[in-house]
Amino acid sequence: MKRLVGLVLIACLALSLGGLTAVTSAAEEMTFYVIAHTGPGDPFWAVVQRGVQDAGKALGVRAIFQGPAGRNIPEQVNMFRAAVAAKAAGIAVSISDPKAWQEPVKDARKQGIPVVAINCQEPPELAGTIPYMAYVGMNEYEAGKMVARYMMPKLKKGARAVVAIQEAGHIGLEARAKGISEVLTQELGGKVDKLDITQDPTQAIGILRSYLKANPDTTAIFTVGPLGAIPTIKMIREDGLKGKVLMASFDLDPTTIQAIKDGICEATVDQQQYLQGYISVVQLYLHAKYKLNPADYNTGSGLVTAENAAAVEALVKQGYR
Amino acid sequence: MEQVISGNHRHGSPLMEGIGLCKRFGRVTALEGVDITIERGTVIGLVGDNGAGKSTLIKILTGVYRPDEGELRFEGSPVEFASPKDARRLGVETVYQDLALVEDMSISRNFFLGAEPQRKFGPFRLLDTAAMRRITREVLTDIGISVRSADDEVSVLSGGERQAIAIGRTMHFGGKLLILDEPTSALSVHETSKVLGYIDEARKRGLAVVFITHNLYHVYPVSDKIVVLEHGRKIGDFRKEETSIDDLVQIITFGATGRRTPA
Amino acid sequence: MEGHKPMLKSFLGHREIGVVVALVVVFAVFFSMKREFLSVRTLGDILTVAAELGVTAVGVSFLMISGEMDLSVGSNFALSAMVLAALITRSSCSPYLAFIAALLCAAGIGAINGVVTLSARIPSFIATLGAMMFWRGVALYLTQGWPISLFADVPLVRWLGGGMIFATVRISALWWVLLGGLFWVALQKTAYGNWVFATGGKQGAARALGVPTTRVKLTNFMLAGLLAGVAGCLQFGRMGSMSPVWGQELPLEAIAAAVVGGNSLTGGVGSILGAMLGALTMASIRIGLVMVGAPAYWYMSFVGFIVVAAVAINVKLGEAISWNR
Repeated sequence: MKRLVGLVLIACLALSLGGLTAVTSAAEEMTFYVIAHTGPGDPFWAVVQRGVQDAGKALGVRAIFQGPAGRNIPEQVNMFRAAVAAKAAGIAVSISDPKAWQEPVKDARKQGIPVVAINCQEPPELAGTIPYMAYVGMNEYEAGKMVARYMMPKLKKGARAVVAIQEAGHIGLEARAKGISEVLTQELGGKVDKLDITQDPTQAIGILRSYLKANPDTTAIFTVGPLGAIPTIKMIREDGLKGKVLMASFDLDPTTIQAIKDGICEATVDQQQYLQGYISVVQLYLHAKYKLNPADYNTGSGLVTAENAAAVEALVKQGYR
Repeated sequence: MEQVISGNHRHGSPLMEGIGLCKRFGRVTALEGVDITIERGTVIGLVGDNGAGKSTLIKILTGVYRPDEGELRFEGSPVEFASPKDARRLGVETVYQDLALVEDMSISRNFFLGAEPQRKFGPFRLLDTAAMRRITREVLTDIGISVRSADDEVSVLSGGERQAIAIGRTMHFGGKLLILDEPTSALSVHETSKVLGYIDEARKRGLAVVFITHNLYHVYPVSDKIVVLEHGRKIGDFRKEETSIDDLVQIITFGATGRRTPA
Repeated sequence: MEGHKPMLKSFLGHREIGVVVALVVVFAVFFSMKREFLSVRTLGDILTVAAELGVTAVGVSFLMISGEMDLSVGSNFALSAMVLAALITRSSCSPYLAFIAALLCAAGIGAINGVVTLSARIPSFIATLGAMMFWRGVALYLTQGWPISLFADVPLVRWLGGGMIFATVRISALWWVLLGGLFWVALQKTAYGNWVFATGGKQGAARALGVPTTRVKLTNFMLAGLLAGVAGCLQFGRMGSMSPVWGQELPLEAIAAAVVGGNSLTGGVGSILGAMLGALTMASIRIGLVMVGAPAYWYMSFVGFIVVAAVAINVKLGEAISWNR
């Protein structure tokens, strides 16, 4: 009986060590963690992981990307705390919940561990309640302004435009919409309406069609993500609106890229999440090594248009965009 | 045998009687007009084929079923059982073939299942585990079986030992009528004779025992009376001294050719 | 086996040996790779994670011992905590009343599971699978998928899991140990506990001896639901936020913790202490893997391995014990 227990014990040890020595061989050098609310099983985050790993290689440090299998904030918090307990040289984290991150980030800073936020932040009215040192990610509001300014020369003065939002109340999406509306009304003198098109593609098309019927002078549709872009593209194709109604969107997905190549969509904002992984590690490294303070970095200045769509598509396939 | 008969004389008064018991399930008649008299200090062998009505009769006696017709009397007065609990309260205990004990529980926990001794602990009532162990051990030693520890799980015991514990439990809790459902069906010859010994022990203490079996050879040596059922009717009711095992085999095999008791 | 010290034996039956071995191995492995693994801070984090899983696992294993299963604990966890979160943040209701409402919701969901399972005579695996989906849907509908956050400082929430003791151990860990102890006593030292074992071990025998097996099962469904709700409230206490999608892995993790700790899937056999140690093992793996920098996806594989290894040890030990006699 004792021998059996012993055997099982040894088997456990062997298996565990065998699996794990690979990751700890580079022991006791500086270790940086990037902890997201979703893991690399999601294609978006796989690109972030790539950035983290490339930065680690380039700098010659351990840089580890971690995240729960599906969007899971309590588990992300557990991982963050484990990274703190492991005395990480620096941690980057997506601020996936405005409340849940207050205490863990405060605690990490109290332990003397630098923390940088990536990808998403608390809403503006709560700014400053979570003491991370800098934000590396898309500035949603600025990105909205950017895409609106790109579209301005293509629109007449005082033109009517609609901003279609698929998740009303979503902080990030609302900020994108706000940037677009402000530029168009203030700098173009345009008439801008915000439209809640829901996440249901059939409903979305219905809502957009009736808006266009009621407002035939509409010349531009802005969508704030693939869930809004996909039904809009479908409607433009079905109703033969190409050239009559211009469109711009956010994020990269195959349908949107194809629409850009086909001339249906003018541009989409790429938040360049590779940078969120890469730059956050670099900033944390520089802080650990030279006490250089991390600074905010807007990764969302990438615009995909007909000119670079093919090149971007290739980079998407390689896992960099 | 002498001793058994003298025991009968001492304890022979009727403990429980069933008169004209009928039970139907839809159009199927499981039991029809069966009379049975169970006397103190006697062992009744209840024999019959599968589907003869043995288990229906037992379930009426133990309060699982209510008879459609007929009457139950206990110690001379009519009784109606709404549930097995009522029957147990009067001292009617049943040991089912497969359902006597919970294998994964310790002997002492099984022994007191449903009647656990408790002691007060502030506002709470906790199990008196020490008493459970002690009493279990005492009772088992008393009826002649020894276990290593009352904490052992029942699963490590033999079939005979399990029956012994179930029988001992009934005796301890003041049972007056012990009903054994096929107690010897899965046992070796040696174990069977041991269980028959425990049954004899129970009779000596004045309990009435109803022993259900297909196997006449198991029940014959230990019983005082044999009741034979067939197709829901009683086809035989004999004192052992009135009949022989060969007659009984005849009756069971060929039906009611023996003396038929008036309905 | 007779030579055992009775004190130790009364706590650690052979069913818990598998999980003790697993826990020792897990600690040895992680400590050998990362010295910080054995620090007060890490232990505090492990206890925090173990507490939320462990409170659920205690209820689930209590129910499993009586022969039933509850897959809806994760949805119950989320919905009950959402009730607490919504009442505190969106109404003027006293936090204590809100907590009572959340507990009533939790026990109510458990009771419905029990009534459905026992009256429709369908396996609890199926009844609670349906409940799992149904209540998750209700939670999502009521909140439209949005999380609820509490920014105010509410003493009750601090007491549920927000607060710390000696700056290292969260209060939720205390609740876990307290509830675990209570259920351990109920199972091992009361007549009710004896009925729970008998109901799961052999319902027919228990019923024949006058144990109200249906009532036992119904009660245990309610208790499992109640503890899942408590766990949800503990997580809300810790995070200050609650989302209707949290706790989706909880049912299987709680069952895994129970099984690692020596509980049988079919009932009649099990240990509260074992389930608690099972939850502790799983929490240690979770924290340890991050600390050594392994990809977090290893967690699943590790837990899978530990489940099988711990149960195998238990089975082999069980056989060895019967050979020895």
